[in-house]
Amino acid sequence: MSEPTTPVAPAHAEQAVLAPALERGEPGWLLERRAEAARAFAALPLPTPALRPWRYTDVTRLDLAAFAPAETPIAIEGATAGDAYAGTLADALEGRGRLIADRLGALVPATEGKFIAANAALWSGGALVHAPARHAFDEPVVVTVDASDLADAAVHPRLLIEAGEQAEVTVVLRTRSGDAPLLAAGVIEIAVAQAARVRLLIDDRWGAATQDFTTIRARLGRDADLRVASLAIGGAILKQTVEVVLEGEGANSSIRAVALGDGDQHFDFVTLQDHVGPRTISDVEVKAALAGGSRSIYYGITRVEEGAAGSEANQQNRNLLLSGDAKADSDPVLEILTADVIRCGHAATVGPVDQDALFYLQSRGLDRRTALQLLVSGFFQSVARDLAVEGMADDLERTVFARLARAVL
Amino acid sequence: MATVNPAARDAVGEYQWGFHDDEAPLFRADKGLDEEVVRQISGLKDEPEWMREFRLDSLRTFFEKDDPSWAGSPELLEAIDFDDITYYVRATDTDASNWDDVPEYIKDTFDKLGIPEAERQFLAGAGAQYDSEVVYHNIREDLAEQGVVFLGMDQGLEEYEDLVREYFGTVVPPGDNRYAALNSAVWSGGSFIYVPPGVSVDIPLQAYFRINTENMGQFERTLIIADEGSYVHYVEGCTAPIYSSDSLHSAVVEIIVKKDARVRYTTIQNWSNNVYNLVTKRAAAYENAVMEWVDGNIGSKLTMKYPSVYLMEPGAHGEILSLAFAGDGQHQDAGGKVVHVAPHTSSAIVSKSVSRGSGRTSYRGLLKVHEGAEDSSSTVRCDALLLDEHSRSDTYPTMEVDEEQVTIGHEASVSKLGDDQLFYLMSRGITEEEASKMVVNGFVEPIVKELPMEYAIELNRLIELQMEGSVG
Repeated sequence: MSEPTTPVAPAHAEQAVLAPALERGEPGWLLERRAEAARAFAALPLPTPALRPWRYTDVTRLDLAAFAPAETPIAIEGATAGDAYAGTLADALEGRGRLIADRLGALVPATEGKFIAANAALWSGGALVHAPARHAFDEPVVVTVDASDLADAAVHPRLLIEAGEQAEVTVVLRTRSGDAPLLAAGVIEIAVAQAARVRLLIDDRWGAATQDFTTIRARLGRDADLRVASLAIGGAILKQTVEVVLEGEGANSSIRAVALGDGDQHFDFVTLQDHVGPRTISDVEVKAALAGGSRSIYYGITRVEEGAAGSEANQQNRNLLLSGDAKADSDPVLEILTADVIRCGHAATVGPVDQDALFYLQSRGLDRRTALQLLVSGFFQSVARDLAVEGMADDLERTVFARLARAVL
Repeated sequence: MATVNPAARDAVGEYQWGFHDDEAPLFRADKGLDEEVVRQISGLKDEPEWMREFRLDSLRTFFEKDDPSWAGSPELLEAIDFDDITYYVRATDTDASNWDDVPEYIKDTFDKLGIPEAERQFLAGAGAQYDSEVVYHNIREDLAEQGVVFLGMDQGLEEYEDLVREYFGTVVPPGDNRYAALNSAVWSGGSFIYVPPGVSVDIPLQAYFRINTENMGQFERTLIIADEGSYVHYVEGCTAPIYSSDSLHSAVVEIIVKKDARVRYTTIQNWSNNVYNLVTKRAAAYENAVMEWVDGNIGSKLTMKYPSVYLMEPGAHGEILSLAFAGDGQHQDAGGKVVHVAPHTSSAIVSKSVSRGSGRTSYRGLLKVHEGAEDSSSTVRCDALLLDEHSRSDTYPTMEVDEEQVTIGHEASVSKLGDDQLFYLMSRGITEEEASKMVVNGFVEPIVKELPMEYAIELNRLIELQMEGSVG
């Protein structure tokens, strides 16, 4: 007769999750959710390339045990006035516990996937940006995750952005880390109520050995307006999933992403624009400039549901290959379920820089590298000019010049 | 002799070629699929040992493989009952090389399809597939003199075994996908074409394929070898009679286009709306060779077909023109694939699709550029037109680029039938229905103009039939 085996690992996992949370004095409902997420994490397998969004990013050999869960170092700058709030989720639990209980995990359920479950179980600090109805933040809220002091650790950035009717807010997420191996599993949930406007700018400058798997999901009410801009500069692997549900009539969404790769950097963007409400508009533009042996993957779906009459969608993916070893995979998908559309289009290109332009610049006395720096900088202009934060566009340009000064071209 | 099941007609609507003979085939394999059936088919055809082994290996592969995970209509694929299909029917004892020898009832069916007229006009040779066996063959004498071989696949295997053995299953290996494996196990009929070096076949070779026995899958297998510097245009047209239960059509077409050769393969697919059309078509193009697929999909319940070109050596060029029209209840999952293996290769894909009623069209493509295929270029252009509120259109254009010195572009647009276009035409005194037809005809024009005239006329007529009752 054999002893019944007890499932040791999940219980351990749960305890590991709950101990620090108990220490922080979190409310019961949150502890329960963390425990549930920990169970989901233990039960879920790592995604395999058989799943379409993971086809080109194989994480099946990723050893999660090599990354010890750490407190996520998070700092938030933002003026809090009246009912508006910009600060950590932890600090907001007391005064806004109800809102957090309602909204946290509502758009991205903990049980959805391995990395999401890890985040739901282990997030610490977190950020809540709450713009109540008709409140407009004067200044961008800047959330900084600086994991420079961590090594062989896992961090779990968690952002919750709530914009009430006609509210306005700009959020900047900056990520930094050192050269040591780091795993980041982030979740960002954004609710944009009627006629509200939200800008989210993600400035990823992870260190060279950081792997980032982040899910961003937004729900847009009537006439709501969301703009997400993502700069992918650092990191070893950066997989970012941005999904927008355009639920209310007249909602408008824009996603812009720029990736600048070198070495073995691997960028993987997944987007979903789900047009549910009538007369909704979406626009996606993902641009990658790839040096060395870097690689960019784009898989995006624009779906126009049956009820989304009179909608308009545009989707673009442009890849510049700056070296012989760079690679780009592109799959911009359209799923149009109603004939009543204004226009739905997509375009994708892969190729080297315009050889005529390169020749012209060189004929004016610029060396090849300088010419490429200028051309790549120009290539990113369409995104750079939309960056909602002062100085960002210049910063991007400086980064392009600095990175390409030593990149393999 | 010609009867239509009234229930089926009610279910599927009027179908132009919806007659079928109450035939009495000479041999009919048992329903269902196992090694015994495969041995039976191979034995009846008196095939060489290697082909029997090839079939049996393929059958094992079929049993191991699942439907593709990316299938757009998995519920339709799951509904196929492989045990309720007759895998082999032979309607007549021998291949007839003379029209007069073809049995009367088969001729009767062909008459309804207009084959004799077509032949009188400009048929070079006709291999008309009736059920699973090629029953009629005729090649113009001068072609035969030039050494052009145009036979049924079975006969080709008999007479040109070495050639068949060298190429059979090399472009589409049985393990490629589930339905290619199935075809490899139970194939019957199809065409075998060999064009010797330097020979240009200046008139299209045509073969008509039809399914004529209820629940009988048709698994024809076509192999075309265009030797160096040769040219051939092969035209495949399909019509099938209406049946009340579903039929499966799963063909494999393999084409080898050698140095400096050019092959064009044209298909107008008009299966009745209960046929599953799951076809693997692929060509390998060598140095400076040109491969062109012109692929029109009008009929069937579900079509999954993506003609492919592998550009194997420098200078090879591939072109795919795809046209799909999906009416009520139809799903046309079509497209094309190009794989650039060698440098200085080029390709172009143009896809036009029209969805009407509850019809759904999906463009599914692959554009792969391997490392080392420098100075390659490719453009993919997909346009979709939606006619009704519930029509659906998808675009899945996967691109994988592992080489820097390439120019790759993809563009797609989806639009509805323009109100202003209709308004303009109607203001000129044209009825709404006529105006809609004109807009659709204009939309598909770039593809239709690539067809031989006879087919262009037939295609326009088919589209008009599909459009009937689309207004009001």
